[in-house]
Amino acid sequence: MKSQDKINIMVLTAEDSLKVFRFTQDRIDAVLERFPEHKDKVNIYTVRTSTSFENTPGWNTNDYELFKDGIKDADVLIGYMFPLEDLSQTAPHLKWIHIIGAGIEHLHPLTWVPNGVTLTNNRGAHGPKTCEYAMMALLMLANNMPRLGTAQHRNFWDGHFVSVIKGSRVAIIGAGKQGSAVALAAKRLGLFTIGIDIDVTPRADFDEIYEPGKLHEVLSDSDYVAVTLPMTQETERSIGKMEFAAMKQGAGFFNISRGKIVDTLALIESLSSGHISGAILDVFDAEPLPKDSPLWSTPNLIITPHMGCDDEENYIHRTLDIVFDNLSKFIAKAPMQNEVDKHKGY
Amino acid sequence: MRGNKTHIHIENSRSSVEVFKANKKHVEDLFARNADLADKLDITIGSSNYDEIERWSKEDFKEYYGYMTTADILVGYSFPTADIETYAPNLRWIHFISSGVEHISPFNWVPSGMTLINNRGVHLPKSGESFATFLGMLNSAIPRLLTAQRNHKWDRVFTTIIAGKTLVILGVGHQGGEMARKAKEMGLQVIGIDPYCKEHPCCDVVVTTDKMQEVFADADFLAIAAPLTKETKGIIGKEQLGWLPAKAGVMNVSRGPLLDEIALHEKLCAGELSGAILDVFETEPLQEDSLLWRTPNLIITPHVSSDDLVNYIPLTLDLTIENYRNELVGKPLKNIVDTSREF
Repeated sequence: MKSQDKINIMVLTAEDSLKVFRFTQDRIDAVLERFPEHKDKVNIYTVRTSTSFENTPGWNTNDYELFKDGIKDADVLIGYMFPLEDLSQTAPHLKWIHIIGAGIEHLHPLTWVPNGVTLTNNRGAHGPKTCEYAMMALLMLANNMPRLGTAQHRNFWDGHFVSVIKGSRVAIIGAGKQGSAVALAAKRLGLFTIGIDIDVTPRADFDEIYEPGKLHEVLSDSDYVAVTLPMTQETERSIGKMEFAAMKQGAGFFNISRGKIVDTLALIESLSSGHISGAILDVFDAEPLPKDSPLWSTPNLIITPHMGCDDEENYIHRTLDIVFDNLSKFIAKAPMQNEVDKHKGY
Repeated sequence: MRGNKTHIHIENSRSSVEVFKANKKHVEDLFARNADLADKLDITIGSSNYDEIERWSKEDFKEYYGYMTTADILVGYSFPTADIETYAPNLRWIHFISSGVEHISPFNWVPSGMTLINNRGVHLPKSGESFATFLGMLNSAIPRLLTAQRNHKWDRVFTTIIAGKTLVILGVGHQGGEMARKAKEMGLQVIGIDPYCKEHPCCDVVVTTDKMQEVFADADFLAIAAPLTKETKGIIGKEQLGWLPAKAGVMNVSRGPLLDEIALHEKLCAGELSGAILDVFETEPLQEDSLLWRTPNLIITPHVSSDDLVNYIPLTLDLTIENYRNELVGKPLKNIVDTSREF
């Protein structure tokens, strides 16, 4: 498994990985073709456990053995979830871990990361799919699809007309990679885009950008609201009763980042009272959404099962592109793209 | 003529939804946009109780015939066709505020020299957005996900981006052309089917109707966008749907009778199509007991994809004025209905 003169990259994947997230030899071969300059510098090996580590009932003894055996030689680990304790002992050569998710709150707190190990995440891998989903979500809200979905469930011909979305305003809460993909979608549809972010540096596709202190003011003047924040202690439940109340009557809402950022009950209340006109959720407090969740039958709400931003054909390709784009920097010991700030947690 | 002004009469139906009703504000705004026409045009607004002539009251007829004694141009949807030459001696053209005019066919009532204008094109800004919505929804398996939601089922299906997929559009007129334009913006391969149009700037290829089976075989999406005529009624039935691959999604945005709804229902139940969105139906409103409400992987929208709540009447009246100006300078009018083809 180990190569003396090459960078040893361990890819941790599972037999039960969904097609969208699966590392196949084809996909690995394809990235080597796309980056011929790195082809001879790396030794990529795949460790395939019976199930993903986060899945219950979890790994069996053999899976732990496979992991221990693989990680002891690895310079680089590509994976999503694995045993966090004692990594400095079990992985003496490890210098870089690439997490194949944009949100890494499942690894919090990041105190387990050994000194000298850089953590990168997958932000940006979702770009084109996120942009397309956001465009669809905005258009669906503009066309009152959540309301029409509810009407259909009731055999009700709810004939009513709407105008075009062009010229409307969207508030995008969180102006990182995901927020930027939403902004790009919105600009393509002719919307005015307002970002909310702790970093208010101007950036592409945002007409305006404000700090979080201006959130309520921005919400009161926006036709659409998109949540694109990372999940942290600060953002947890940061969109609640007050925020929904601040939104314009008839606004459309969608969340594609993490369920726990939004107070679900406050959303249900806002939809049920008709204050906001419709919502689309791709992420939830608990996933899969439990059968008895009140969200299933909340009026004017469309549920998509956390599939909006992951491109079945291209997600792993784009993941490997991020890793291979970073390889030259890794070799040069220069700062890499997508490094996670261990204090901020994203 | 009224005095020395050209008389345009707009006939509303009070039973109609707001989007289709012209009001005084619309006319004021129109004159604000066309200040030079203030002393050339007299625009009146009348209204009947219902679209159906059989349901018009005595007062409805009286008011309408009164306006029509001087009207040069009629803007409306429904009106008595009998004796139109007699009751409207000055009438030169009729501007229908709909794209489809099948409700008033056959056209043997049209006096020679009178021109019919339809509203095709007016819907485009709104329908373009609706088409992009529907394409995105079909590509993201939203019909399947709404069925799953109804059953409280977490059905985690993943999809890929739409760029590079193939859309077949039946009918490359105004509506189909706008669909093609949107699809091109989204990076799709677009194949048109049309008996009259040989090529289209937004279609990679346009084929004739006899090639339908061939082009259906590779379609990711089928959009029905042709007008309803004797030739197109029932044009997509069980056999034609069977030519589509199981991955294909279908949408109908033109007229319900072009598609065999029961055949579509059966295909969706059998999983032989991936999903469908219908905006138009054989009977509208769709009856409460229609089986389509519960067809798996089908989304129903109540004929709302093309009409812009805010801009429909302003854009319609802009077209009337554009044609009035065309007439003034001797240019051909836009959107003339070919009564032999019924659209």
